Amino acid sequence: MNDLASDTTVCIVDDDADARFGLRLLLESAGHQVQEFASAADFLDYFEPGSPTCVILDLQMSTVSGLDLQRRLAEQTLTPPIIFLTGHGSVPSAVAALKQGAVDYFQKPVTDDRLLLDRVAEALRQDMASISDMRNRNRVTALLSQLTPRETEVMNLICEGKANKVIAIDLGISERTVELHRGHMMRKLGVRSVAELMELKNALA
Amino acid sequence: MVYRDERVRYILDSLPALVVVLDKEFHYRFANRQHAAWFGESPDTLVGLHIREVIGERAFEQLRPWYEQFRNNASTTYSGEVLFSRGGNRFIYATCMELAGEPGEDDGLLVMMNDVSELKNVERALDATTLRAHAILETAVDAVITIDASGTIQSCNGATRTLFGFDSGELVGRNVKMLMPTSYASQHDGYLERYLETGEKRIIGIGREVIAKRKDGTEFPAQLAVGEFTDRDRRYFTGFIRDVTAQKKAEQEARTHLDELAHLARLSSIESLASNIMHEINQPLTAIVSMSQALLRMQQSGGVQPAMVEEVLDRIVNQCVRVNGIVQQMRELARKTTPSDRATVTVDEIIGQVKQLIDHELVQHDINLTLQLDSREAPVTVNRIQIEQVLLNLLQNAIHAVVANLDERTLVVESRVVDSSPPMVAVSVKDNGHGLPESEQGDVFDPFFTTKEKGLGQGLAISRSIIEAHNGKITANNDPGGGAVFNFTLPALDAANE
Repeated sequence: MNDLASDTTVCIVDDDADARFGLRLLLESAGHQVQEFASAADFLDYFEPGSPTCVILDLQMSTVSGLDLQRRLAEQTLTPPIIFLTGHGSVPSAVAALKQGAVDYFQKPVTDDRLLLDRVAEALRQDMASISDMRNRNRVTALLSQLTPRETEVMNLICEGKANKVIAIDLGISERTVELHRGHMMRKLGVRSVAELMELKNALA
Repeated sequence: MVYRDERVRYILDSLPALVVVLDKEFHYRFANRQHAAWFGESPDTLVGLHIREVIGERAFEQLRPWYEQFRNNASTTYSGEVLFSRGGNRFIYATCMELAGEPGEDDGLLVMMNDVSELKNVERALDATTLRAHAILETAVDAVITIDASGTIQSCNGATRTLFGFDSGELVGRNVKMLMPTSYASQHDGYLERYLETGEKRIIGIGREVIAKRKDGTEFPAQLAVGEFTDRDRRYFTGFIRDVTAQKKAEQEARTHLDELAHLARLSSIESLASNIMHEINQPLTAIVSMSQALLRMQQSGGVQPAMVEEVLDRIVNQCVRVNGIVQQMRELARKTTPSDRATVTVDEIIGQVKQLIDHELVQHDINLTLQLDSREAPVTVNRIQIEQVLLNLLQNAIHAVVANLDERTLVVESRVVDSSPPMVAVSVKDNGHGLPESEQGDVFDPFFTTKEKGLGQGLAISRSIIEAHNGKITANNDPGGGAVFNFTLPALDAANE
């Protein structure tokens, strides 16, 4: 079994049923949940951004080629990591795939299963991280949208490292009022210290 | 004189011959109606004339020595050509004898003559024909041997000696089987008997290739044609035998040459299939490798269910069989063939094999291939690899033609039996591409003709050589519905001939 969360899925997109079956068995033996797709269209129908996914994609498929699928996925907000499998030394397509952001590519047949499984795990971790980043960002954006313009101004100045007294002078208001805004802002954002505030803001960076 | 008697005269006038009675100085005493008419006179005006005045000086001088013989008291005949002053050159048959005169008259002579020019002409013409025929037979390069219904040699020509080493004296009267290898000889009587019984012609008027045996026992390939004739109710067969050793050798050389060329073209065709083949092999290899790896992993981390092991191993074996099939097919296609590499197969079978080779390419380019195969009933004897090559070449061209299409890409391969004599199997490969440019339809089979950027222009030229070496034809046309159609034919195995 692997150390990955139970909601991760490896999707195999390949038009050859036997090749699919072999890869599925290998991935399942390493504890992955696997979904098989015979075509890019089938996969696009199924795919929902948001759950950690790694795609293992045959570069030489018919109808919609692997590279086409990669481009279509890239149009989505959350692009799942893709590991390409190439039939034979088709270097130009492999290079194109990597340029378009593929995690890696392997030549069929994949003789180094350890490396493939490592890369799959890595890709899933990477996708989990990007998904949680994305969730975090969404949460922070939602929190920040609750602040009044004044509270936002105060927050920005605090993040610049300025003391209440300096902020009061900058904004031409009393230090007491700054403290009031600061209290509201911290409560709305659910943070208790400047350190926590900085961490929250960093999620948006 | 008897001939002056009315009744005798009547008889003489009715004879189908020219009859005259002359005195010993050759003056007419009598001429029958035929004689007078033949010379354009009347019988009475001739009496008293010298025969010279009627038949002419030259004819008389020629016949005179013969006429004179009547004096020897003998009946003589004359047969030969005489130039008459009237009537020209005639071939006559005549009899002359002494005829006693009336009392008070000298003895004379009786001449009866027939004009046999017409008969003679026919005879001469016949002689000339016979002579000519004989001369032709004697100078012919082919051995010409006539046998009777039992196979006994009646006659043979000069070439027979050259071809077989036997003099005609050694052959005439003996059975023709002596000119055949044992395996043929033992069946010859049966052939003759069957023909005489059933009248079913298996070689007469058809001709076929046989093996003949010389006097020294050596054998040679020969083309045998047999004619039949009846003379006075007896049947005879005349065989014309041609030594085709040199022809065979030339054919063999041409085919060997074609084999080499075809092999080279096949290799280049395989090269262009390389990505296809790699894909075809890599897929099952991928399955085999990953299934094995999975099994190992499962075994290492706590063991596998026996049922699982069985299923996976079963699948692995299937994949190995799949790889092996592809490799075998490639090896076959890459193999050098020899002219004797012919086997009896159906064209439909070959089409099925070739389809497998291009399946991936079809899927990859989203091409719809329809097979309409209907030649299972008519097998062909061919070099299978070469016919696969022709089909592969036509299909690769067709794929190349339709890939430019933005929408539908369709290919149709059809096979059917054409009820000709001999029956043929016809195959067509049709695409819905742009078709052949009108001006180039005839050129596509020329060597070095190509529309492809990297093409060598050998594919169709070699395809044509291959089809022609199989006694078939290949043509290129545009389909009225658009696109190009390539047709080729191969002689179907004639069940009746085997």
